[in-house]
Amino acid sequence: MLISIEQSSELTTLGMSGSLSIGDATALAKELAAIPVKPKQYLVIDGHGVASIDSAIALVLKKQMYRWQSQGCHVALKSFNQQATDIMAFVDKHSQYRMPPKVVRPSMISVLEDIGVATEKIIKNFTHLIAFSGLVVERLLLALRHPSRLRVTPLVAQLDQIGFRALAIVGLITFLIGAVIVNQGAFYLRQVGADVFTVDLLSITMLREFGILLTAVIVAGRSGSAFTAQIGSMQLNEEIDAMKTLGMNPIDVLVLPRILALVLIMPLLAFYADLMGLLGGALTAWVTLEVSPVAFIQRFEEAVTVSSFYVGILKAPFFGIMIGLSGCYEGMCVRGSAEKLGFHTTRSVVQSIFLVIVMDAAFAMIFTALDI
Amino acid sequence: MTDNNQTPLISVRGLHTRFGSHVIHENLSLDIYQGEILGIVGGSGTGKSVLLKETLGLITPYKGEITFHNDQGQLDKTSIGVLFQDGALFSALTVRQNIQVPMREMGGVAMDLMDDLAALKIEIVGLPPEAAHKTPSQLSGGMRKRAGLARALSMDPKIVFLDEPTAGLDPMGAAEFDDLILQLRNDLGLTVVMVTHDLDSLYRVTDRVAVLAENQVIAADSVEELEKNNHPWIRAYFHGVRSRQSEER
Ligand SMILES: Nc1ncnc2c1ncn2[C@@H]1O[C@H](COP(=O)(O)OP(=O)(O)O)[C@@H](O)[C@H]1O
Ligand SMILES: [Mg+2]
Repeated sequence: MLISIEQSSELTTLGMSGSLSIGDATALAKELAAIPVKPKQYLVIDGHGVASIDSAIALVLKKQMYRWQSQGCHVALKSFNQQATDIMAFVDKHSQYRMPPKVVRPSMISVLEDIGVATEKIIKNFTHLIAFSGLVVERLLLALRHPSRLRVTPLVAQLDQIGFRALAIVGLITFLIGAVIVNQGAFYLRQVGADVFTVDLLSITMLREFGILLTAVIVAGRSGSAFTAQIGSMQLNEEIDAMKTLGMNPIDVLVLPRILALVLIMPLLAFYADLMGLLGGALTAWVTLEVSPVAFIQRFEEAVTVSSFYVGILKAPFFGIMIGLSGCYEGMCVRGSAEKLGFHTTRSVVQSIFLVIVMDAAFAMIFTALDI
Repeated sequence: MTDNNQTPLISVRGLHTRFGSHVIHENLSLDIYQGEILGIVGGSGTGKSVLLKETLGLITPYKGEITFHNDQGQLDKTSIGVLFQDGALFSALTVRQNIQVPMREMGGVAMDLMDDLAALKIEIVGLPPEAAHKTPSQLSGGMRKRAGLARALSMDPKIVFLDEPTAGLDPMGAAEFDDLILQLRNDLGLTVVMVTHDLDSLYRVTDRVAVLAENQVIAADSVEELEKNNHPWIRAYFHGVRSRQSEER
């Protein structure tokens, strides 16, 4: 108990003691609120045993005093020391307002509202992305008219970062996926006695789809996110604003080199991914199906035409543009806080993978229509 | 405000600081007294922020002693409040939540009491009530500083450390912030240690100023006394002020 209560005929004396601070405040508030009072009653809070209080205790006391007073009681403070009196006066001076309440809406309506707001945001985001693409195209055309103004150094740095440094992970993943396709394909095709078609399965899917898709997903996760984080942190640091005031166009400096690097490097990475995927598949076929490398190559030549290869590689620069646009755009969207940086980085990766797959489906329909 | 035969609240003795081979402080000593507003000045990179962080225990000095003298023994975390150079508000939280962080950390404080306390601190530092539900990125620079101070005050500290509190504020905003600090010291008996580059602040609020140069505190005295000091750096530093003040007259 923090309070001792002494009751005489018409006076209640509440005694407190010790050094009280925020840790005691909640308990004190409860004890005070539990004291039974009658209107017109006289209450005295006796603080002669109190060594010190902090603003939380002062606030609790003051609030309870006002509450009692509004119930018609007479409340007084007695023998508090200077420190306690000062802090109560200070709190009194400064408790003019309460926390403004947060608006709470009925849950059904707020759910609908949230859905609406989210939909609007998605649509807005895509229209902005399209507008941003227009801006980039404009700057690109300008840059092509004055090729000397293209920034070569950052372009080379990006080629190294996006391409060369991704070789290990792209190679490893496509190699393993190639192996898995052969393994799984052989298992089912053998049941119908068609295990020789495993090579067809591998080479067509790898060249047309998997090589480039896997590359795009890896690059989106690796470089798209990096673009957003780099540009976004520059945005937070007001570096982008500084650039503009110094007469540099942030699209020229930051976006074009990244997107151009992707356009140049994606076909090369995809080609490399095809090779590694086929290599993984061929080795697996050799080990598990006892298809010798020579037999594999013969079957490979029969299974695919050069157009299968082109179909895959042709998509590469477009996927690169998508990843670059989405990564740079999300970076430019970062405002305010470090939390937003994380949010936009996530969105950039999700968005570019989504767009790549949508685009891949569109390409598939076009190629089917063209009978390629 | 301070008489020097009083025992200091914090005393720093023979402090050496180095990062690798880069020596920041060498045999630095400084006393901080109860209830004073102590300014710390020095060229940029002389280790003012580092000195604050060492006093706070965030950086361990290479050598030397930092002692707290307090009637209740060792000072704990809640008796020190800090306003970092860049505010260091938690960006994902609203101002209200920022102020409540230490209360939550301590635990056992009722939600409505925490809200009342946050409202109180917000008013003390002169922020408008609506600021409570805003995140730091929605506030202006001056308001962020105030919010940072409100968080520093959330547990009723006895000492507050302010790292360049008025840097980046316009002169009016800076003057208001200075008044706020003075008022808090007078009302709550706070001890204030503030790093500052703002000469107006020095004149307006500080009782004493410690000058950091040559890896040491070369002088710690009132501004009036420092104006008479003959050390070249101190003279250069206060020379501009004197001429400006005479212009104002
Ligand atoms: N954690 C750290 N590691 C290495 N060097 C540091 C670290 N913190 C500060 N420094 C260096 O110490 C010096 C003093 O820094 P600081 O105290 O921030 O200067 P100021 O007096 O401008 O506040 C600077 O040269 C800075 O580079
Ligand atoms: Mg500093």
